[in-house]
Formats: sequence, structure tokens, C-alpha cells
Amino acid sequence: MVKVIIDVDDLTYYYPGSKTPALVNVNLKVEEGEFVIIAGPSGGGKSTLCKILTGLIPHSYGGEIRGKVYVNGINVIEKGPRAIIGLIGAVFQVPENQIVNLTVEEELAFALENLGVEPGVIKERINEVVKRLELEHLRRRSTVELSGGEAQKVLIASTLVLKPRILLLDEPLAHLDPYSSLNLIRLLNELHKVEKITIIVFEHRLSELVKYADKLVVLNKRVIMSGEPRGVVRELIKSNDHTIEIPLVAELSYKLGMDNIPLDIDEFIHANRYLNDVINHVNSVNSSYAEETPYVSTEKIITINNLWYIYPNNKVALRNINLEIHKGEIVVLVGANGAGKTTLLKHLNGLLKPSKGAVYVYGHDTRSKSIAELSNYVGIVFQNPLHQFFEETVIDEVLAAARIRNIPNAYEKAVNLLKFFNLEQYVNKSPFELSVGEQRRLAIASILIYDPPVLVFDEPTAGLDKGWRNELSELINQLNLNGKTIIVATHDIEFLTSLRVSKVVVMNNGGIVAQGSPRNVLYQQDVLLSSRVVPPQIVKIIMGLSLSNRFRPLRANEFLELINVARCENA
Amino acid sequence: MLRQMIFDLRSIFNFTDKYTELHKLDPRIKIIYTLFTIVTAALLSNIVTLILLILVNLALVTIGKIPLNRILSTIRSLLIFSIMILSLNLALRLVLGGFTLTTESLVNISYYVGVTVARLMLVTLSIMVLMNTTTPREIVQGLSFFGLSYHYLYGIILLFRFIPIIFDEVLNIYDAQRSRGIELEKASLKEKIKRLKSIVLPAFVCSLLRAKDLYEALELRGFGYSRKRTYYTQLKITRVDLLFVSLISIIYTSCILLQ
Repeated sequence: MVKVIIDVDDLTYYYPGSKTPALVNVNLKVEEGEFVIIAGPSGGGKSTLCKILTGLIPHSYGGEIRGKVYVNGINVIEKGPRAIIGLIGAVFQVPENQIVNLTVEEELAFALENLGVEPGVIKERINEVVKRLELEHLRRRSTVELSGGEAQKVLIASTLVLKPRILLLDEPLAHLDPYSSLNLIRLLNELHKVEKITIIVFEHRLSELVKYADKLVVLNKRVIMSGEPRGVVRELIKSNDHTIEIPLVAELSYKLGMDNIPLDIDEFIHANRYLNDVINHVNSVNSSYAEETPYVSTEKIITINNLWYIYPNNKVALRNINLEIHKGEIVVLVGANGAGKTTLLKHLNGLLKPSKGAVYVYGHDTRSKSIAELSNYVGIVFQNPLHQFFEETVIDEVLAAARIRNIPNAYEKAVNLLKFFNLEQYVNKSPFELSVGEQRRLAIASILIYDPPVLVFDEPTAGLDKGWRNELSELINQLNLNGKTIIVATHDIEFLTSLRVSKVVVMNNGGIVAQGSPRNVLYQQDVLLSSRVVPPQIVKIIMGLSLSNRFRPLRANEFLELINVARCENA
Repeated sequence: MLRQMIFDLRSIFNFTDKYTELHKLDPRIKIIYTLFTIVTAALLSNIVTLILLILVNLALVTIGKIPLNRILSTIRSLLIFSIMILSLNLALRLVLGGFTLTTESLVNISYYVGVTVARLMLVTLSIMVLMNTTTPREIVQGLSFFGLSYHYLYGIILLFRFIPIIFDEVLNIYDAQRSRGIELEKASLKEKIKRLKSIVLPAFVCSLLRAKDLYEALELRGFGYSRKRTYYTQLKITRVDLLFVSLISIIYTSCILLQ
């Protein structure tokens, strides 16, 4: 008989001082050895449930809790986290905040040392895990210098030394670029298949993950759906959910009216080989995308000539960058974490000055202008909105940059902006009380108040679920239609395809390796691969069907349209 | 300039993962060495001896393979700092009176500042050697040998682990605010203090969030679970340790005695 290792029974929880529950009557059973994904929108209670399973809630949080939670038969609500140490290994969202020690090896030893395990045994366990996860090259490294993906792996290793039977991960993909995400997903699958560890992942980015799961649970304060992944994914599509990112092939198959819902691209391609024939016989849909190329003026507003940037520690961050940006463009920089995207953005308003070469913004050499002057041309919205907020109310936050510039009618403008961003009901609230998506919008509003003609976004989708991402892409498109020139640095390639992009710039190791229209660049698989950029799912599908010579859609509906036209013609 | 100083300060406390002979020394020996340097720096008032000891410590820094730019940036910060002390000192004396600007008085005061800076430099270098070649965990292990409880000592570890992260965060916050024109540098003093809030407050909020994550990570990995904690590495005084400590003792003691 299979053993139920986690048993959540009719769980309801209120955070201290809150009148609305974070979780309502949640029931969940996880069997030993299962791979379970718990998906749901931000604010849907994923992290809360994760913390209850580890005993941190209510142990360190307080609040009102009803119902029972058993982990391997232990009542964690009563006994707290110390009762299940060694049984559950948990890794939460921000890797760098959870690493305690300064070298990787010390980090791996940490938990065992705390439990008073003999030094000899600790060394043995470290050796085992290092070998298992292939960490030998990181073993003696300083933890400060680890990349996000490496840090995540070290954290997983640091819990595996305890030989846990359950591994719990809260949004492990949120801070990784797609390439590192794929590596992590493969590792989880291996731990599940080979080590037979029960794995529970709280995540809303399911595209690559869901095919490995035994069970998919959708949580939005209560359990909305639960069961075998294919069935749940079908239900998700049917219910028109916009918060959870599911594999594109599933969505396509559903819309094509197929019975089977594939979760894996290869499976889709295999089942749809015939599409190649059908579509290749069509003549009438050849160049249907030509006319929708976004309008771009010939006026150059930013010119970057042979730009090099070398950090004080002699690390070369940018190599010979040449780039021109025209008025009205949406330019997207893609590349793995550490490729130099943010460093390049920081040159656009003079935060960093070129070591060699030059950057011209509206004709001004950035070396000869102050950041304050340049900020009137280029507004940068940085990755973490919390790095900006310092005023007591939302309206003051928007006005902060206006006060410095003595902008006339600032208050009126601020109110209008808040209306445009759908934030007017929060005028007198604290910025810290807003949800993640709202904070992101507020950060944009607080830049738009002084109306810079160029808007720059650094990783705008970090930490946002699909619902917020869709909203953000609409917003950016709208701003572009209103005349703003937009520059976005992101590793979120699916987000890119929802923007009215005029130019995609691929960066790798500090240099530009490709630039051009999205339909051109995103279909250069070799370039993307060597830059550790994962192509959009639709590109993988078209390449898989060997159709890219004739058709290069970027969005699902373009592909579906194509198929419909082909079917009509064939009929 | 603010950006540069934050960057420089950060590098004093960075562990360098190079594993040289200095890295291999027993942490207790290195703690004794640093304490000894601090005491010696306080006792010495002769600039020549101080410079001699600075050279000795620079040699150690080289043996420890601490990156040159870290050393240079530390020295640069110290120089900026010393110019600030010198001008403040002069200004105060001039304002408070009882001081006339003569060649002799200027030489005197420069000598005094020179000694202060040299002391500071000596102490900084020895801290740099300790922190760049010893992980805080080893320091905790060393100190707990002297009878201190690991529970409190680990607080120090966490401090050192998070100093670079928080410094980086402050830099990012500073950049984000400057990007929308909220600059500290070109403003009146009153306005400066007001604008300082735009950096301090986000830094505080972000640090609190980090602290919460960290607390949970500690809890889940059994920190404080048992009074008795093991260390997977053993402390062992080797011949190299003894050689190092005797050499340092001889040099330092003779410097103090010869003065």
C-alpha cells in the first residue's frame, strides 16, 4: 500500500490581524514518492501553505489556524518545525537570503553541524551529495559569488545532506533565467526518479515543469482543482485561467480540438507531423506578417558606439557594443543572467560611464551630462520596486521625482497617472501595502510623472504571475502607442513575444551576438543556444515541424490562423 | 564618490576563496595575530616603525593572494579619510583658537595625522588579512574554543555574510533614486538629509525582508536545535602556525621595545 506522507485536513488560516483568510478549507494528500506541483496566482496562498507544511506557520508567525496537518504522521501545527528537521528539506524563493555561510562546503555542513552530527559522518554526507549533484567545482567557492542557479543548487544540496524524504520548493524558478530553470527542473526530476524523494513544488511557471509531475493542484485560497496533470491542464484551459502559465502545446492542441492534451513539445510535434504537409501546400498565407511591423521613425535618439565597460576589479562587463535606437521603437535585450544587460541599461542615463567608446542620448555625450539631466530623457524602471519606495503614501511616491523638478500641475498629473495605472483607490495607502503587480505599476508611474520620452525596464516580469505579466505587456504596448520609446531587458522570452517589438538584441558574455527583427533573431536557434537563451515555445514548435523556412509566427494565434487557412484551402 | 567609498569598504570584509598558506593557518592563530597588531598599533607612535610594520603586513596581504585592486581601493579610501581628518583637525584648531598657522605647527600636525593614518592602515590591513583568508565560521570555531557560545557568535558570521549583499543593495537603491533625479550630491544640506531617507528607508525595508528569510532558513536547518554543536573541521596547531606566530611576535615585540 502507498503511504500518505503529507496529509492536510480541512486547513483554514488567518494571518495575525487579518480578517480575510489566506487559506480556506484546504485538503491535500501527498503520497510517498510523488512529484506534486501546487500552482496558483500570486496571493493565492502558495507560500502560506508551504510555510505551514514546514511548521514555520503558525510557530513563528502566529495567526489563527484550524484543521490538521500531518507530515509523516507528525502533527506539525502542534510540534513546530523542529519536529520535522531532516524529514523535510525546504528551499524558498530568494536563494541568496537563505545561504548562511561564506563557502559552499561550510554551507553543506551547516545543518548537520547544528544537529551535532559527528565530523566524520558530516564529511561523508558532504562527499555523497557533492558527487550526486556534481558540485565539486563549487565546493571551495565563496557563496557570495554564486550565480542564482548555482545558489539554488547549493541550497538544495544543503538540505539533501540531511537525507530528507520530502523536498519542498517555493517558486524555485522565480529568480532563475530560463536556462538555469531547465537545469533545475531536470535535477528535480532526477531526484524524484532516482532517489525516490517526494517532491512538492509551489510554482506558477508550468511550461517546462508540469510534464514531470504526477499530480497538479491549483490553489487559490482553496483547492480549485487537483489530479492528474493532463486533466487539470485541460480544465485550466477550459476555465480560461490567466494566472498560471501552462505549456503552449497544451493550449494549441485544445484549440485545434485534439483529444489528447500533450504537455511536452516533442509529443505535440510527433502527433502533428501531418501539419507540415498541410501547411506546406498552402500558398495564400505567405507573408501575412509584413504589414504589421510596428511603425518606427528614422530619428535616432540613442547611439552607442564601440562601447566597452570594465569594472574596477578589471572584469570586462561590456565588449564593443554598437547599437542604435530610433524614436518609437520597442527594443528588447535578451540574454542569460550576467550577460551584461543591466550594465548596458545603466549606460543609458549615465549611471555608468563608458570605459571606452561613447553613448549619445538625444545628441548628448553621457560623459558630459549629469545623471539628473539625462534622467529627463531616459527613465529607468529597475527590477525591484522596493528599491524606490520611501514615501508614506502612493501619491507622494509618484510626486517625489516631480517635486525635485518643480513640475507644474504635478498633483493633477499624478492623479491622472494613478487613474491610468488603475491605482487611484490607493492614493493614501502605503506603497508597501500594495500587491506585487500594483507595486510594479506604481514604480512605472513614479517615473512617468516627469514624462521622459524613453522608458527603460530592467527585468519587468521578475516575480509576476502570468496575469500580471499580460497586464504589464498591454501597458507597455499602450505607452509605446502613446509615443514612448521603450527598451526592455528581460530573460522572459514569452513576455517578449507579447510586446510590439521592433528589434531584439541578443547579448552574451558582455557583447551583442545578434540583433534584428524578432522573426529573424528568435528563429536563429544556434545563436540563442550559444547565448543560453531559450527560444519561445512557438519557435520550438515551428522548428520541430520544419516550417520555419516559410512561416515564422511569434504568437499562438498566428499559428492557429495559419492552420485554419490551410485547412480551408485543403478542404 | 559615495558609490566608490561603499564599494571600497565592502572589500575589506570579503573572503577570498584562494586557499593559500595563510588560509590554511589555524583561525585562533590569525585572531591572535590581528589582536596583537591592534595592540601594537596603539602602542607605537614612531612613524618609521609603523611604516615598517605596514610593509610587513602588506607582505602578508600578498601571500594571502588578496586581489591588488582590493588593497589599492582600501588605501585610497584611507587616504580620502585621512585628508578629511587633517582638514577637520586644522579647521577645529583654527576656529577654537590657541593655534597659529606656522610652518612648525603645520609640520607637527601633519606628523600627528601621519601617525594616526599609519595606525589605521596597519589595523585595517591586519583585519583584511584575517577576513580575507578566514571564513567567519572558522573565526566562530576559533572563538568558541576560547569558551564563547556559538549561538551569539553566529550573529557575527551572518553580519559578514550579509555586509556585501546589503552594500550591493544600497548601491542599487542609490542608482534607482539617482535615475529619477533624486540625487544626494547636488543639494543643500537640509535637502540632502531629507533625500537620505530615499536610500535609508528602502534599504531598511529590504534588509528586514532578508532578515525574515534568513531567520526561516536558520530555523529550518536546525540552528539552535541543540546546545552542543559539532564542527566538521578540526582545529589543529601545525608547525607553520607556530612559525607564523613566533615570527610575528618577534617582529612586533622588537618594534615596541626599540621605540
